[in-house]
Amino acid sequence: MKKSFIKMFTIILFISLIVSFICYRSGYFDKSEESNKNEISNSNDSIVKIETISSSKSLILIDHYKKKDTTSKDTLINIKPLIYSSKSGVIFSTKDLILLNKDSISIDSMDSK
Amino acid sequence: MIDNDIWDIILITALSYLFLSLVFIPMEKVFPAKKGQKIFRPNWFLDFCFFIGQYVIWSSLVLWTINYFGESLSGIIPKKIQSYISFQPLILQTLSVLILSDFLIYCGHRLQHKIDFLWRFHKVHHSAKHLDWLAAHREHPLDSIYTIGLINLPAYILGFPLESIAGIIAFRGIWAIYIHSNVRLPLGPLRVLIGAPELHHWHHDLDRRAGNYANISPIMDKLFGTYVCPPNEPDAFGIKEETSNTYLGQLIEPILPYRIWQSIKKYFN
Ligand SMILES: [Zn+2]
Repeated sequence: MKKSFIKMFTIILFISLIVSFICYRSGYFDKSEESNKNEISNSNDSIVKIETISSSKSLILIDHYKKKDTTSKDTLINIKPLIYSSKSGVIFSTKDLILLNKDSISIDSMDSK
Repeated sequence: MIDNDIWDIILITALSYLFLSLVFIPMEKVFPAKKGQKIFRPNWFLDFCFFIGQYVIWSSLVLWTINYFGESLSGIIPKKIQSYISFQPLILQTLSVLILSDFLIYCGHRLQHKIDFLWRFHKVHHSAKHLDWLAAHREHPLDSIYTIGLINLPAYILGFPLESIAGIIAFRGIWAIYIHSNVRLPLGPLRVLIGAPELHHWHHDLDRRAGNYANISPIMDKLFGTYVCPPNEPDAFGIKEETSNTYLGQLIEPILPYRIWQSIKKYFN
């Protein structure tokens, strides 16, 4: 009884996490991401995005959006979405942090008003 | 500025590691394929180095390289044809891109097992004697460029916007890690559609030509007669050749001529 409960719980946890990740990647979780994306693409210091189809090894969980700094050397990086390899890939990347920071900055500025 | 970037990358790597551990370790403990395999099994640290290396150094470099060359590929098909394709229903475009990708990666992967020059890079991934979610990350960066390049080729050539299928890409990405995990939980007929660890584990059998070369879904293996699905797990994973047990050694060995590697390999064991 206890064993089958653990098995059930593990499967539910596994499916929930995978579904949550897919929803997160599809943009269901943060409505603000859409507005951020617009802000990002419209602003001068644009942010560069990488996304890939993955192959059967692994994947990057968060992908990389690099902030273009017009004074730095890597300003000309312009990366389009991609599919990952069949082994692995990056699950989360600095893009997610930048978006998070943008959220917190906008929340801060709203608070201070 | 650079300091902030480094901290961001460290934070992201740690977050990704924690998330993946939470997704896969309970499954590996409750439904183990190899019973008794510990989380910190032999060569755990080597695979951990590959994980860190992939997040910190290689992923952005690999993706940048593919994007750089991919840009020039998007001009192969005339814009007129690309725009004609873009007016087709999204489901049709998605299916075409995924089927073409799977076909290319199937052929490319089979070649990696057949041609020695390609195998020397791909064997890094196959050198893992213990499979789990972390071992999925053992991959030479040039192997990543080869596989990610091939798999994205149709999307580049057809000018297909991959962001429109971000959810499918995410699922395939995380499932790719899952099929390496130390899990045995047969999915029944569903495995033909989305792939399963019990199939991919056989791809990691000691026999280099064991089969199951398809990307995630084994449909291409079914079509080309390389599908294998015995009821048990393979006795052993890995490769028959001798190879380095260190991160640097595994990165360097494939790019060096055989003789030079033989003379310096003692420093990388
Ligand atoms: Zn292989």
